[in-house]
Amino acid sequence: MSLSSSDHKAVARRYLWSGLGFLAFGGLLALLIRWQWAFPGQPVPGLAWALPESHGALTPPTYTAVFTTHGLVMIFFAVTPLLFGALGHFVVPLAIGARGLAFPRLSSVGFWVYALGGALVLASFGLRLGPASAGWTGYPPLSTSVFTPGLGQTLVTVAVLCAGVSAFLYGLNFVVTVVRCRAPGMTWGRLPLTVWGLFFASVLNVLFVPVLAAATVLVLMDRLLGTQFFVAGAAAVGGGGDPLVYQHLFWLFGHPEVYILILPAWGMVGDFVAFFSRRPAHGYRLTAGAMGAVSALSGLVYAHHLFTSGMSPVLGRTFMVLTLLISLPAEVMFLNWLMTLWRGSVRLTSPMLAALATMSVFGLGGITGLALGAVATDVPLHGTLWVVGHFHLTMGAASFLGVFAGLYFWFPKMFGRALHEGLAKAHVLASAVLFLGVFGGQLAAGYAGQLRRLYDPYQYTYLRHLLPLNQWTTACAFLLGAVQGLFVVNLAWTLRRGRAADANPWRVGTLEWTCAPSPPPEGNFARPPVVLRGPHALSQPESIERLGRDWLGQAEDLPASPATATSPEAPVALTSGGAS
Amino acid sequence: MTLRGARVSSSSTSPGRAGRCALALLTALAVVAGCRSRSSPTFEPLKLADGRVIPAETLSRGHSVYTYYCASCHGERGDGQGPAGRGMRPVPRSFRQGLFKFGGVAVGELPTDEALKRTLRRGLHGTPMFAWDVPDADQDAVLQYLKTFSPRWTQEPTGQPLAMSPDPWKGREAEAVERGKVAYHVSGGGNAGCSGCHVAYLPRAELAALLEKSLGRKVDLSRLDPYTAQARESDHPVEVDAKGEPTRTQKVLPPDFLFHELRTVWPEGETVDGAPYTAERQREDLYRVIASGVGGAAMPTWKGAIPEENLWALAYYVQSLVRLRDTDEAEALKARLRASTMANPP
Repeated sequence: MSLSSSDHKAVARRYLWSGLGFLAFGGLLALLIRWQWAFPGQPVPGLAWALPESHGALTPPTYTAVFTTHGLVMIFFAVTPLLFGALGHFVVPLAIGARGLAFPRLSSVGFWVYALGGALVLASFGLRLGPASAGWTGYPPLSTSVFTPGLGQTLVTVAVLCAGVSAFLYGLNFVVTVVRCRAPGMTWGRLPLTVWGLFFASVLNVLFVPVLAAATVLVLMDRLLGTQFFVAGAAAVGGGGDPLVYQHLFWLFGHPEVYILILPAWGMVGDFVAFFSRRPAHGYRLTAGAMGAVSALSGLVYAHHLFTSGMSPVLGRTFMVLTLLISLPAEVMFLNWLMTLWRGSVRLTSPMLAALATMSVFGLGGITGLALGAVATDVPLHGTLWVVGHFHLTMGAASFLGVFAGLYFWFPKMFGRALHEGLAKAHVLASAVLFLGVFGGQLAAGYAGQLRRLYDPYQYTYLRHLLPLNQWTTACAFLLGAVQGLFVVNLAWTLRRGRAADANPWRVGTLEWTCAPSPPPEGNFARPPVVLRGPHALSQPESIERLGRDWLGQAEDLPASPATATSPEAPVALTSGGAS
Repeated sequence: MTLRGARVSSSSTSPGRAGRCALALLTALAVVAGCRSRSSPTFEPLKLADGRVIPAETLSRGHSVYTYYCASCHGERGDGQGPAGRGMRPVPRSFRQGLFKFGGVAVGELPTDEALKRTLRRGLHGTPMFAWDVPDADQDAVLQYLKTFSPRWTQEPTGQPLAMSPDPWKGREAEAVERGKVAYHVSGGGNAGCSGCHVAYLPRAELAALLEKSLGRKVDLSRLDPYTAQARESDHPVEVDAKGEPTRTQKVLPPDFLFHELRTVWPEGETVDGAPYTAERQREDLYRVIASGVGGAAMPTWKGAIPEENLWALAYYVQSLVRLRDTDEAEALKARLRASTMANPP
């Protein structure tokens, strides 16, 4: 497939490969951090070629560069591109019955801007003074040229800007596509929940990514043009900038960003629990509405990241209340998922397992977040590994498992081949359990007071007894890295000689499965489907009676008379949409 | 991807347009970044006064290491005025003077590489100068780079390291402490009289008795306050002008051994420099500072000024005070000292 193709499926595939590449890269960086916490200052096996001065041991500057790049790469170049770039680009037009995205060239440009950003991040490793090392948040004054004078920090800041531009472009594209390009009959109430999740997250992208872009540009001006927006106090030569302003800007983007990373996964979970319990999603409107409420609230809670930054305590209380309010719609959504599962005939397929795992790790992440949303408990926990464990459970583990839920679900549609179910299930289960091990260990260490970015925590007497705990966590992390091999093997094997997938292997009714072959041709649909019903028409008595199967395509005409001889395994009518 | 007819021909976009946009953006950014970022400085080989020549690659590597580890406090220009060091007391050392506190040489001379490396590896206790884990291979590079900040390194040879004599008091610790007590509180006659600047640790009556015994005459202590130290001038700049010349220097309080942490001395039992910190190592570190003095501060070089046995005895005595630090006994001693200030002289 040509690299300049702007077909949404081609763009999605480009995002998929680069996203998976960056996921592997960010994961390896994470393992380096874990190594340092388990065996501080000891040479990493096989890294002597990169760090000859220390014979392969992480030095403090290398360590700061590693944890900074890990965070940046995972958020801006791995998880967001996988959720939106790969799954979003692929699913949105197909699921709403569109021939493509509203602005196909824009989506292609977006990918290349993202690729440029990724190239800059990788290139920064080859520079003198190394890549960025001011933390993924890039707080000034650390990210100004006073403390990080290397060119690497500049290039990585530009790279974040690139990722932001691409996120804005596909966000805009998705919003317009969902609003304008739905197939006839695809009313808002008939959208799959995945599309709802992606739509809300795209709205957040459009609203808040520009704030990140503004903050990044101002930092770049501070670095390159000698302005002093964020330089103050000790580092200022004159003038009156304030580093706290950056924190406000950054988190005004940064908090919606964590919902940007989880809303698509929520949508998928909502769909998958319905699909694989063979029931309509319980409280579809409430679930969609809850996702909307979370999106609306997400812009109003950001300052809970600043409780200890010297912000007014009055504001702290306000943001605490707003933050804790978000758990109400989240709870509604969660209960709806559970109600969907309740007395459903649950099929534990790999996407379903991944969706259930997403629910579990997200639930735990949400509960541990309550302690950070409340001022009184945040003050002692702020800046500890508790925070790290919490946000890795929500936007690390949950998003990761969400990505794999989606990937395992749509892979047959994307590539026309079926992944090996057993390997996929083993991968999902092992990953979920090990995620709990790794981030549970971090929560425990954080509760014991271990601060999150210490190069060698054991220089502090009160943290020395945590070495065995950290070593255990590191063992889980390395195992987690190793079980990703299951996915790699599965992927490589399937792409070479995997079994051909039929058009609707999961027996569900959404448009991509019922109206298009696997993989869909250019233009997606032979004729635009005319949608007749919602996405979860499962186990409907009339379809069982008249068609002899428990699912019904969204654009499928229900015959008036009982089925003559149609078996449940019968191939799908690919062009049923619009057929009279 | 050529799977199952997934082939989709290049669609409506004009090929390469996106690529051209990206390329243009990349070029623009690279130009801006290239123009504005500080290019890595180039170095000439540094010819030191003792004949050694430091190759340019070492200095260049040292510059990187300095930027990583040192510049935020010690300043890009090595003047101790780094943004993170503002307001720090003691002030971050200015390397532009070539003046170091713990050089292992006579006060005022240029320190040995070994002494600089010791400080780099161990840090300075009780200050933000931590042991920064600079890899072994980079330690030498950054030391040599420090020498580019002061012209002294190219003009004067480094000082003679003050050799450590064998400890004459081995096994006779109590005796050594007694002798050290005399050497500490009495001046003249081979004694150092440390309590003249640091405080005295004997109540007034005992102090008077000790002085009388050692000097053979009565000393009137009634109008003196031997328990309060006065801050002394130092040569270490707190502020510098645009040219890097000091405009204000720091005042330094001679340490009270029952209260202050000593910069080159750690508590016994800690791991310092990869080895357990024994009482013997602690004594040696005390000996080294007493023998060589503290550069730029009021503490002079004592080696050669008093007999070796008194130097070692002082190390034993100060060690006995250091061990008391933060204990109830120290509190009780201080209370007794304060009370004796109020009491009538003998």
